[in-house]
Amino acid sequence: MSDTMADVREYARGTARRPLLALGVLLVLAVPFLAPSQADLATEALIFGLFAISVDVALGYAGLLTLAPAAFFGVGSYTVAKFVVDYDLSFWLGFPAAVILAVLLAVAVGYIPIKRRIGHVYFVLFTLAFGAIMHDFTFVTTWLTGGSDGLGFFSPPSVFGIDLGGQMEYYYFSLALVALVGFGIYRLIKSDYGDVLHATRQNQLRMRYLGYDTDRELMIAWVLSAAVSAFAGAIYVGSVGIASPSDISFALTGDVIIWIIVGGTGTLLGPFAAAVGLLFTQELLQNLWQGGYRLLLGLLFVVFVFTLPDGLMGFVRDDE
Amino acid sequence: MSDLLSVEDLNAFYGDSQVLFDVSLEIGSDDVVGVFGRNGMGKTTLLNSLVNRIDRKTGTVTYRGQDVSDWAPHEIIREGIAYVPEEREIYPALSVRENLELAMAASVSEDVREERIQNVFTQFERLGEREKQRGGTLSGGEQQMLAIGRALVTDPDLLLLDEPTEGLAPAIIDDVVEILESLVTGDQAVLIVEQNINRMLPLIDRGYMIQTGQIVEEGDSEYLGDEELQEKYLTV
Amino acid sequence: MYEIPLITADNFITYALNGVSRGMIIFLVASGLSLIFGLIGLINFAHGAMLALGGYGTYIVIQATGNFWLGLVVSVALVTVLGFVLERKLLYWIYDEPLLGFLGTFGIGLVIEEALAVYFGSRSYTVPSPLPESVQILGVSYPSYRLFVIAVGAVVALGVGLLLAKTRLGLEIHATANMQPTAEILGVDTARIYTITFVLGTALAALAGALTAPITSMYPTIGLDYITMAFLVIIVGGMGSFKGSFVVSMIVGQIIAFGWLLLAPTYVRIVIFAAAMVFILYKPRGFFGKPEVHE
Repeated sequence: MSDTMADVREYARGTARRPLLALGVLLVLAVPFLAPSQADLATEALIFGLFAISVDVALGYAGLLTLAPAAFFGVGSYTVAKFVVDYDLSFWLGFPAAVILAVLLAVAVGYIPIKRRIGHVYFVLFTLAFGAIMHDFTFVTTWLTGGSDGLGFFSPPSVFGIDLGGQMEYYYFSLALVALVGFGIYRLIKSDYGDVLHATRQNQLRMRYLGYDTDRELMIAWVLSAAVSAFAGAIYVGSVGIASPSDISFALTGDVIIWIIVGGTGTLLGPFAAAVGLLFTQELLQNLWQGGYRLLLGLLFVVFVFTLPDGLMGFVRDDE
Repeated sequence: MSDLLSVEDLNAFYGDSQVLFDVSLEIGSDDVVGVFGRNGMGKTTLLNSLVNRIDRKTGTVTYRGQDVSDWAPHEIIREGIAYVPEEREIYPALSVRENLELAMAASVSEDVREERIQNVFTQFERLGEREKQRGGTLSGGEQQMLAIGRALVTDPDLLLLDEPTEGLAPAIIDDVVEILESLVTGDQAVLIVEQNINRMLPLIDRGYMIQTGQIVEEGDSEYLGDEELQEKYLTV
Repeated sequence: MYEIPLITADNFITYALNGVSRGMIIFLVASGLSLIFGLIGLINFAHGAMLALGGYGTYIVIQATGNFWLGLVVSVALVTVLGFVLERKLLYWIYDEPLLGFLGTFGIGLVIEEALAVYFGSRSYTVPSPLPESVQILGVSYPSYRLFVIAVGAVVALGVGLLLAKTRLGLEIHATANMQPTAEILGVDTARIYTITFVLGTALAALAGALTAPITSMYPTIGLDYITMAFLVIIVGGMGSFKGSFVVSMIVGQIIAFGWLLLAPTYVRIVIFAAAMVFILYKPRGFFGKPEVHE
């Protein structure tokens, strides 16, 4: 490692950390004023950031190589849309319903593979099949999901006289939820549970000898990850006003994996930052080179995998 | 130097833990050399280091005057070294003949291959009888014969044997020792690592004692036959 | 009750042949994937992109020369070279890390697919059939080109099957796949075996892409659908089992060909994927997996 890199590292995690954090918070709060036209994009960025955090719990901390994050994100967005559009029920009721549905689905899908310890390779393929089924499902169950048209359009309701249908209002609403849930996950991961999870990923056998029920720890991470993914999906659908098959697509799964790798697995903040940063980059590039963004994203991802397997945060974070 | 193989200051590692410490030894072109020590003292690691089947090592391994320290295992093997691993490592789904075929370089002519296989079958009749049988169906003793046979078909200049008597019934051990007796009179050099020193002493020209990854004694059969010495380094 | 469409003897044969030709394409994809997985343990997500390249490569050559056959040969050759370069320059050093191997190939696949999307746009392309006429077979009139696909699949199945079972190279591949460190001390250059196998697997994917171009329309992510199906085929067939991927591909081809009589194609896919999930949980070695095959 060069001295310069070490300096940057030192700077990022040492003296500069608190002011940087404060600056970041200010910036996030001021987005709708600084760039009113970008409020929608900023909302989307926050939500995808939370989505990235949720998947990082399963993938980065628990080491569960899942190819089905979009399935749970989609469950969140479809549940809320279904409640509002087809059942004429409350937007708010959609949130707990989405989370409960995701938890049930996660238990149903994850219990046996985790219990049977099928191994990384089979877990990847198992979740690949599950994700593909969920995606296919949205197309064939038109009565339930609206098929390729999706379920929409609707606007989120007013609450305490604030119309959440407004861009800026929904931005702060999303910010509050993302901050709340994100901080909750952060606290959980910094607690003993996070250490247990980390140690389990490193050496499952050893943890079992030490008396930990590693299957249960992994199951908790898996279900938590699914629930928060669905929660993110639920916030998301309020922003775009329609649940569509792209919410549950393999492309979205690919995106979230890229955010996590570029941001650094098992760092929470890294994937969040990468999701936000890359989404804005996409917007910038969209105007300069139509369609080229994903190609560059792919190249960036390959560079990260082959040169910095720990991601950006791997450089910044205090390793020991 | 007329040494076939010489090892200088060899240090070997598995992951972060060091297993061998500054090991040096020489083998002449028709030497039969033994390395003796208890389990876990680094005997197998020593052989694995010679052919580079190990995470990391430092030091120099010279074979026929060439520095082979950084060569890939198969490159070292193809220079005329044959390795009979402790676990035999027979391919269970391949037939006896296929196991033997695999060991010979593709460049060896068809006639020579057949001749060498037949030589092995002459020496080990039971392998000949089981030519088409899968390796996984052989008994422990037969697998050891096949492992040795796999080494012999390469017509090696140096034979590395890892605990050839390990895990075999006493009657089978007699068979194996008999095979080794015929081997050591041949013109190739042999390096045997063993715990079972007393069965090996009649076979070897000289030997080493290894303890926690270091060579601690060196001498001829008579010297290594000393009971106190064996008590110190071998008795469990 | 759902009304089952009437099956006459004629369209029964047509469906069955459709199933065989589709099964052959799936087999070409699955066998390449299975070779690479069975030997190297690599979950090769770039495999689908190689298929797409094979298809688009054929399209480009046809645009330039009007010759499908030339396109087939050139695109397969070029993708094979690309596979060689990728393996030697990038992939070989991440084999020990299953996670990196999966992510690395995922990224490479993404780059290739996006490059195709940038160059060709996301609209789909079709290639005219080089053998537009039909021939009489088993009492029905059937497109010659599909028969050609069936023949190519059969020749490849036989050829690669013999290569694995009867040749020196096949012996070394078996040895490397099952006990790599042992193969090394028996003098096998296992790095070379890895390269050969990866390149062979990649060539099969490109061949599948080129062959499928006149049958189905191409789009940049066409490979994803195929490899999802192919991964599941190799699970059911047994990871690393060449025979298994052939038998299961044939079965899946027939299920797809006849399945739509009962269910919409998407439902057929769902049923196949669900079956594969059950296999992963309860019979992960599949029907033909050998106990010692790479995990």
